[in-house]
Amino acid sequence: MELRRRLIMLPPITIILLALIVWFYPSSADFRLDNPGWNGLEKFVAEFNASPATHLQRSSLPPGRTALVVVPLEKFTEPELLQLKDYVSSGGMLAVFDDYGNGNQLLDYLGLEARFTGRPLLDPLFNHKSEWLPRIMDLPAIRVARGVESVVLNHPSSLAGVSRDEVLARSSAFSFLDLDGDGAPGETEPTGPLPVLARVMIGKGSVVLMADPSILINGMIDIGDNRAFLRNVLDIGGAGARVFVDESHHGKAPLDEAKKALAVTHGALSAPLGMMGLVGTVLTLSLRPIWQRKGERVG
Amino acid sequence: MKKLLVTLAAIASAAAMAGLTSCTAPAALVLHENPTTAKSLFPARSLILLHLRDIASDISAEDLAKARSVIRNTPYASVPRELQHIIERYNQYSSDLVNSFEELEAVLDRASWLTSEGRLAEARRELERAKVALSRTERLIQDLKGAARTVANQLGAFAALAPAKLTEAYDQLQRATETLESQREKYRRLSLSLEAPTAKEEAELEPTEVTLDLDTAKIFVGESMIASGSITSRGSSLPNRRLTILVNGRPAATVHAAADGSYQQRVEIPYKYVPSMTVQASYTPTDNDLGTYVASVSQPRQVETTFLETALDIRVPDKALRGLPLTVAGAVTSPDDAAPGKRTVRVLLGEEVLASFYTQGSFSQRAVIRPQTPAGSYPLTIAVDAEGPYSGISRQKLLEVMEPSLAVKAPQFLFVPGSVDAAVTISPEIETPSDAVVRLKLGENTTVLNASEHKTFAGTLDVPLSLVLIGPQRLEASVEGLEHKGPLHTATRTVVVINLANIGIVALLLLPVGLIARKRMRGRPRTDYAEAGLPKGIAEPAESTPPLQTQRTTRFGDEGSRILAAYMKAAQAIAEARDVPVRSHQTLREFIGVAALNGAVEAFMELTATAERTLYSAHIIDMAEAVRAENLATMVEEVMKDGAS
Repeated sequence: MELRRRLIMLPPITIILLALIVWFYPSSADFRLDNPGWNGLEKFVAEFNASPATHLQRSSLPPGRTALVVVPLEKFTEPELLQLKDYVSSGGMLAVFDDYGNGNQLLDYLGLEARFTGRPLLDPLFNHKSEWLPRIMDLPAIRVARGVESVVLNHPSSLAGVSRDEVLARSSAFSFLDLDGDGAPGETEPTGPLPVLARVMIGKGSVVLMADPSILINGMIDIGDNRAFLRNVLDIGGAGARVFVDESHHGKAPLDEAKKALAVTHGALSAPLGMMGLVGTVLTLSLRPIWQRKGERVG
Repeated sequence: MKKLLVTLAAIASAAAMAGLTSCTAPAALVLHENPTTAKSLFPARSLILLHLRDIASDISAEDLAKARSVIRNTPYASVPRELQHIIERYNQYSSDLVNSFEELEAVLDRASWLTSEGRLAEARRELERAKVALSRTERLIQDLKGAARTVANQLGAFAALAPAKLTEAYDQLQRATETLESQREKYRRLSLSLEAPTAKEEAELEPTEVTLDLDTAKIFVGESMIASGSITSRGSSLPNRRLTILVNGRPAATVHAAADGSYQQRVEIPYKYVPSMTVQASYTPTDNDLGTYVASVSQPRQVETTFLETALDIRVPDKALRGLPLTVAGAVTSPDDAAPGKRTVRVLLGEEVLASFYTQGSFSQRAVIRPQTPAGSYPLTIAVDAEGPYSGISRQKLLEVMEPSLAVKAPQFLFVPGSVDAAVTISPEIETPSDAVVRLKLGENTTVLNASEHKTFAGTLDVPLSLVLIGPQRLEASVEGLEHKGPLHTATRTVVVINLANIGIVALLLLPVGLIARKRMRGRPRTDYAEAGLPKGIAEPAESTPPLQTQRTTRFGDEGSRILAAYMKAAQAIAEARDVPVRSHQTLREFIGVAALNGAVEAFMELTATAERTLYSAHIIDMAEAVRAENLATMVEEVMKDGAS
């Protein structure tokens, strides 16, 4: 009997233990705002006082003096695309950080000719340790180059369809697009300088295109002059612009989904109805022996 | 049954842990790598040579701005450590060569212009400078070639089995450095082309002489003086010639000579706050004088200039927090004048103007450092602009701009209902602007903290009501500046909120439930069952029946043994289900009393009666009774199992 009781208690204890682990275990997914690891955005959030914009609700995105950072690893829905377009047209600054994701879907919707090439940009001469981490030194725009001598990227891509006036940063003449994936420059592969940062005006606002979202992660923000560079890029929306980060297209990791579910549950239980339901359930389970006993007597 | 339960529990736990493992596996949607573990790779050797070639090519093509840009990028090239020094030398030679070519171009341009102006003496001086620059470029080109050869040698370009790309790259570098010779030669020819006509012109043209006198040797800035003199050529006056009066080399006035070649002109001394100035009169041939006369300049005259000096006292902090204002104070005075008048003062951080204002003496001014300013040391300059006879002045001090960090002091555990006394300290502890707004937020409640004497901000915040019994919440502190909307800096602290009210309510609800449940779990008293009475048709066993366990089942024959075995089986099932052990001193009937059967009462009663008849009476047990007893035992056992599950 004793063993039976213990076995009955084991599943709920396991569930509670797992819930605690899921709650407190740090996120390790790419680009998560609460991820303190090398691939998270915790430093970016602290440095730039960034707030999450989990749902692209227009009411939570005041267009004036704001910058919305988007890393489109997942596709946008039609309503989201419309809201982004409205946000930019009303004067907001949309910063799209993408290389191999779904940024082109957004650019197409906005009616821009610019595109992310979606191919790796390598630089075998000017780089940080590896050709996959090219160094950018060609910053023709003064507003981006202030306090910046070089920027280091991490497996970036490049931009196409941008005019000379729109380009804000370019790779070196020794860089190339690795179309065939062999890591070596081929005769038919485009060589540098290639644009990696551009700004396009739409209505009252602007869209900034950066061909490498990895520059935002904790492991990259302290390298070279990346921090000052990011500050200059976000200041394009106005000095001291409030920074928002759209998390809803960063991809879904099981741990983060579990955390989200726990947070929703916690929120539901904190609400009046939820708390009453919980108390009611506990009362029901506790009084069950009595009800069963009454039922047998009547029978 | 037990084994089944244990197995199920183990499987469930293993599945849960496996689920957790999958939860912790990071998503791999984007291709990027950890930069700290990235492997160092050096580029193809030929690329290094091609980069050096680009520098030389840009210099040769006279695209000196581009050459400078490429030179600036060289330190960022990934090169083997053993090559870094020689490549730095190549870079330095290239940079010096660019400077020399720029100087040559400027000097030769000026010499050409001076010659066209007839200012042959000056043109000659410029040509001498050009010769020196040419000599320097020749040396630098040789040094550059030497460095290029060294780099190529270390890269193995001269080895017997050097790769074709490497040798090709070196050939290109060599050709590029050779073109530097051509560039230098071009400048040399230009210089020679200017020397000859200068000398020729000097021999053919008529010399001129200009004299200059000033009516004063000391003057206040902004005031004027009379400059006079004459212009002659070989003793003969040159009437109606246009002369330029130069002050410190800059034209200050023009005058035409009179019929006798003399001139007189009022010249205003500019507002330049220097102790003396040089005045000269200059003649440049124009119109018909071109090709006839040589340009000339008078002997320089020194005039002592005076002005009212400005003194500046400043009081500025050593450290400041970005995003928050700092106060600069001081006083602008003039030792020579008691009432200096309104002066413009500017506060600069590096080259950025933080504030600009007017003052007539003492001042105390706020200047806000932009939140975007990176932390670091900057020169803070307080500059007073020159105004009329008053000179300007500036004072500079190094200011360390720091990132403020907020420390929130509050109890770790907060109770609802209640309030929390919290304090926020901004560090580093430097002068915090009194008008900075520090807010504290917990859930939906926000309060503004007041500055205290010890450079902290303190206040009381009501803990918001919620229905959570106990849980973590974020206590958030933020600093806002008046000039900037929204929080400049924030800090959070996790506190545990304990909702005493809710815990009390829940405890009150659950306490009686718990008590009742505990009471039920302990079992029924014997009298309850005895009062209920036995079911009809069951013979009541004798009260003085001895305990079952002292009996031996073997002496009762097969049927009797089977009946007793069935009873033992049923009793054991009841004992496990009800957690009531079979005690040695108990009679069969006493066992019924303590068992507190809820189900299978009739069956077990019948079985008990049968067992007692077997034990204590002379009744002869037949097979049917034995079978019946076994069936009853099975029934009891099943009921007990159902009850347990």
